[in-house]
Amino acid sequence: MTNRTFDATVADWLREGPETGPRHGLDRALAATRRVDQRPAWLFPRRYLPRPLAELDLRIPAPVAAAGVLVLTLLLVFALAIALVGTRPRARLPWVPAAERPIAFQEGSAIFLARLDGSERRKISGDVPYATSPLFSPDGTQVAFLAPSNAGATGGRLLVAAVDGSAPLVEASRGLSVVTGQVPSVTWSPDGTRLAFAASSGGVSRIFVTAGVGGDVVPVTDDTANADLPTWSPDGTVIAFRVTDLDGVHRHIRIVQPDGAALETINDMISADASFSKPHFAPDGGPLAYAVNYGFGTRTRAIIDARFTHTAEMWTDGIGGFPDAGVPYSPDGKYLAFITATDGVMVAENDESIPAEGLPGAGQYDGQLRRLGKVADCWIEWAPDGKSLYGGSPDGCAGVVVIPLDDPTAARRLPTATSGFASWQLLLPRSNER
Amino acid sequence: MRPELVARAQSGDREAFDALATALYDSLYAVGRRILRDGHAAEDAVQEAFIRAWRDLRSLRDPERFEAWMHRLLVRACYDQTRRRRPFEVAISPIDAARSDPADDISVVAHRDELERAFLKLSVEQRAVLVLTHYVGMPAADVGHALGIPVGTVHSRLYYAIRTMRTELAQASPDRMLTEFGR
Repeated sequence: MTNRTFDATVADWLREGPETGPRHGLDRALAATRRVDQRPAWLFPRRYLPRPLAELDLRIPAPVAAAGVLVLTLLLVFALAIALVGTRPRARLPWVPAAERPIAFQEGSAIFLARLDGSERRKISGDVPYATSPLFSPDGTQVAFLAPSNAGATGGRLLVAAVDGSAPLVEASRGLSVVTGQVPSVTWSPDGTRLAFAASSGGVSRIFVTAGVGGDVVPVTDDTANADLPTWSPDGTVIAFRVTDLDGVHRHIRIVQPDGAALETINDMISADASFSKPHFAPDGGPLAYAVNYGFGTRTRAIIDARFTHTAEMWTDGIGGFPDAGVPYSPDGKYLAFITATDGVMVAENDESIPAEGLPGAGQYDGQLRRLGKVADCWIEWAPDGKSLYGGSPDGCAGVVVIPLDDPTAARRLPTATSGFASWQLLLPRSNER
Repeated sequence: MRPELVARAQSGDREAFDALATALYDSLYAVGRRILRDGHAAEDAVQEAFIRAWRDLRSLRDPERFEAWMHRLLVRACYDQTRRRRPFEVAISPIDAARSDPADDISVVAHRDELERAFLKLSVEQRAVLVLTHYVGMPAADVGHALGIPVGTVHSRLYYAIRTMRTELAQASPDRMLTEFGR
């Protein structure tokens, strides 16, 4: 006998038995199908696969398949989160569209407010014979400006005007002679309640702080060195300024608390013909940015300086415009702007990865630089919404130009003759504008 | 099996599906009955296969292969039936009156009983291969397609199934095996 015979025996045995099922079994089975809904075709991924692949029976256990789907879903959500959230600005810009806000500027011997298109123009400097260097308060309700006796005077009063004209002019300098250079030596406290300014006292320029607008004035630097170009930190705790010792050779960037305490030197330089620019704080209170002029113009450098520990030079081919104007941060802190000697206006990415001094890569600036061209001169500032720059017009700074960052060639000029620094209103948005 | 009926059923036509199910019911029951060796379990397996067929009919891309697909669903339902049973519920189906021929002598009945016991020693996967091959008469390739396994696995399962049955039968009645089939 052979195995084939045994197979035949098994086959015969298997053929024994019923060939039909009970009718009630069929009825029950059909009734059961009626309690189930048919799944739509799109629920079957294999329908979209090539047939050979679809017919592979991979027999993946359900828990493994479920875990795989879960992991893939989480990865997808993570990727979407990075794509959507990670590309947004790190800090919400707390301003409404800049075009809706007025600019304060000097025209002739007075200070005016006007919108970009020149509309709603009005004078705010009253009957002051000569007014210059307007500066909006952070809350946008007041404008501080200097009032020297004439255009050539080296000092003058610091006056404050209410934007809505609801109050008379207030003299914040209380009789002191505030320094009137190319770049104004005035800064508002972040809460808009106080001012710091540089004023000449006994032949020495010192930093003074007011107690309220129009209140008492207190010096925060002594008379052993000339101090000017103050900048209040965003958190209001310190004021940065530049210092030139009376020998005219030792130069510093320093910070001090508004009450005159905790004086600290940030940078030093010894040179008779060099200078620091006005320092600018990052919006988060981080590193200061300023320019260093080593003399002869072409060696001016733009620097990010986190109190000596993290210093990098963004630009080493010469700073243009007013050498004291400095390197302002964008409202969101991601960029800095400055005028170069050869390439016009430059926007530099804020490089936050600068290693500390002594570490590899220290001093190495790795951010991106963007050349906007010679679209402005003398000074440059950021629009309140960070979407454009504004500065002195390139025809000798006889006007103010607004430069959209998305299209610098569309730079336009304020429809009025202006001179010196202008100031674009910073105004926190109403709750429904956020 | 008429592809147009399958297509109609795929579009949600219950009457078309009823016609397909009715046409296949007996053959599926017979296969399930032989794999599970239990009429009630076979009914349940066929019912489960119909439910899955109706629910997932739109996943079937080729209506021509409806019957083979149904066999696959049935075998899987048989697998599930076997797994659901508790170990002590192993069905030993006595040879019922309908199957037994009054003319059978005692030795024939005893032989059937030994075959039944040997068959139940097989795994449900081996039983499915045996039934589809020797009862339905499918070629190995079709069995492999119906069960979702390679042809080589079909052959190996057949080989081990037969060997297991021969061993079981040899232990139960060595003389008969020696006499009828040799060693």
